Amino acid sequence: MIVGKKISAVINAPKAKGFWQNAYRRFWHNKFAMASLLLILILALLCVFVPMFSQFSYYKPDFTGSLQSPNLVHFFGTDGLGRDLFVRSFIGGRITFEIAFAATVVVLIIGVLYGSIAGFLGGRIDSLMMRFVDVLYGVPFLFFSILLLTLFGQSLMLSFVAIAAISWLDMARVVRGQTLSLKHKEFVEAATVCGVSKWKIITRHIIPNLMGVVVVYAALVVPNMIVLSAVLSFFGLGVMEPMTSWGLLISDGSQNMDSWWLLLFPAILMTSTLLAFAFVVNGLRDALDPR
Amino acid sequence: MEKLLEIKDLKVYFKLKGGLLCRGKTVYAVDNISFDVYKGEVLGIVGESGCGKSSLARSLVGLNDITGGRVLFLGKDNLASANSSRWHSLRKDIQFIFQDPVASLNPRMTVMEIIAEPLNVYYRHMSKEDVLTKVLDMMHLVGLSDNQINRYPQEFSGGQCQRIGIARALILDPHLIICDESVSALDVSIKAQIINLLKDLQKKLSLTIIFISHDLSVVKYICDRVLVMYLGNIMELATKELLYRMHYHPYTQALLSAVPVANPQLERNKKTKLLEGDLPSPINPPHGCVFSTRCPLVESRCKESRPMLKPMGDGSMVACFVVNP
Repeated sequence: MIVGKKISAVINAPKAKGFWQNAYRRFWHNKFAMASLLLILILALLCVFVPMFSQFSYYKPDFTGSLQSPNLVHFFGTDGLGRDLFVRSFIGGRITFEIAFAATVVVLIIGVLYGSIAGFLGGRIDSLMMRFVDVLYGVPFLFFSILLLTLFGQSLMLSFVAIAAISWLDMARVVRGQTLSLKHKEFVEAATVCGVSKWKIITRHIIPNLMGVVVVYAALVVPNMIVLSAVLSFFGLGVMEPMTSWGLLISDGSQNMDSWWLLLFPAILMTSTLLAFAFVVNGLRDALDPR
Repeated sequence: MEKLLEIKDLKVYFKLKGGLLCRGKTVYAVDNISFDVYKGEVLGIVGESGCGKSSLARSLVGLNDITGGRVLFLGKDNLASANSSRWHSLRKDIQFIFQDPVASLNPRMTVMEIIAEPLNVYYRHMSKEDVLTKVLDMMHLVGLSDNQINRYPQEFSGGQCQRIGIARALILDPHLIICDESVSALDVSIKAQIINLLKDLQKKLSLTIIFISHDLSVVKYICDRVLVMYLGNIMELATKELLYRMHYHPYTQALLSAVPVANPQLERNKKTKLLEGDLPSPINPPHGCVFSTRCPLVESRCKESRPMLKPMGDGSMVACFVVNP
């Protein structure tokens, strides 16, 4: 069969190193970025497994052993209610990571679709969509979250919604700007001439070419989300006792400066995570946008 | 000969955005152009940059909106009034080859995906094997080999990228191919290869090509008829032989005399008719003949009204009051 022969020829045809493979190779060679990624992974695994297998629970108070400084039983010491800070730090990290990643995914989906549609359609629709974004920009973040909480009561879900709702705006703007510059590239015009529909042009031609910028920006959004959720917890919105988050732990620790470990350990965890993300973003940018 | 495209009084204007106090101006990119394109011919369109060649070409595939006039495709479809669904089916028959071969290919798609894309749009139920066979046949036709099918555009040279672009344009068996400066971005040896490829394909598939270029030697090589444009208007329309022998219109004369000759002895003694001044702005074209501001033969009537294309008796059409058969 000629056709069968041809198909096998194509399957055997050398696969070019694609864009992503090259980017992956460049990232792999970036030591700081790889180390940071490893650190984030280790922290994430600890957040999953430490609360699971520890002999202490994060919520049961033990009034006989309150405010112990770090020792071999309680690695990070205990808080005012005698709860093990080691477990509490990692359960807090779990919540923080959950909020950050879930919010980032939402931000990614809404921001990319909204921005690319506005940028590609252009004209009046574009102006309308971007003015709507401007209006949302005008709503202060804290005011907005307090409003949500008073209207619907306090829940973790809500603090997450509040964060995501204001954070996709930047993403939409970044994506729209990129789309505007891609829109007049010849390959997009070529697709138009080939009869490809607008929706297909956005999904097949615009969005794949946006990915470099979007991935970098998304990686920037994650630490932002961590900080925002910490800010909300710090003000007593969002995560509630006995559940905790890094922001909440830091807020408690800062009111209890005599017991230094209460502030120090959560703060170290959070700052090292943020720093690691900064390195990963840097590495991603170098890998995806080589110049 | 059968007419493939009948263009009557075609206008392509662009509105410039006005400021707070001034009203928006209009760019008269293509102004009242009429000509026919016959089946199986290669029609060259030449002119200096900014004369509206590209606007004309892009309006024929719907990349620019047509402001006025009539464009009949195969005697019945009017492109000027086609809605988007009509355009969708027309696009199958009119394909476009771009100027920059690398920029016209999506860097995130493989050669296979790029060439097969029009098939996926117009023959959605075609089996994977059929698509693959068609893509491979087309790749052979334009001189690409099987084992390049999974590669990405940035791994190819400009000439090979243009071959991919040609394969994409041809895969739907279009009636009309529009090449907008398709070889201008390539270096000389590659340019020759691509032009020969286009010429072969044109013969093999009996294609109709509208070939836009500012390179007169390329046009001389590939085209059957040549249309000379200046500031959105046709100056002269003639068969290649006549145009290069007779060149009635003063603009055509100036254009042809500026072509460099490979022989230095001849080049030194050649009298180049240099035009004075610059191309007037298409926002505010001259009132009479658009060429009147730079024409060496200008008379007072040229400033008053615009000359129509008139036959010179030997088949050439010239838009000039002064030149007579």
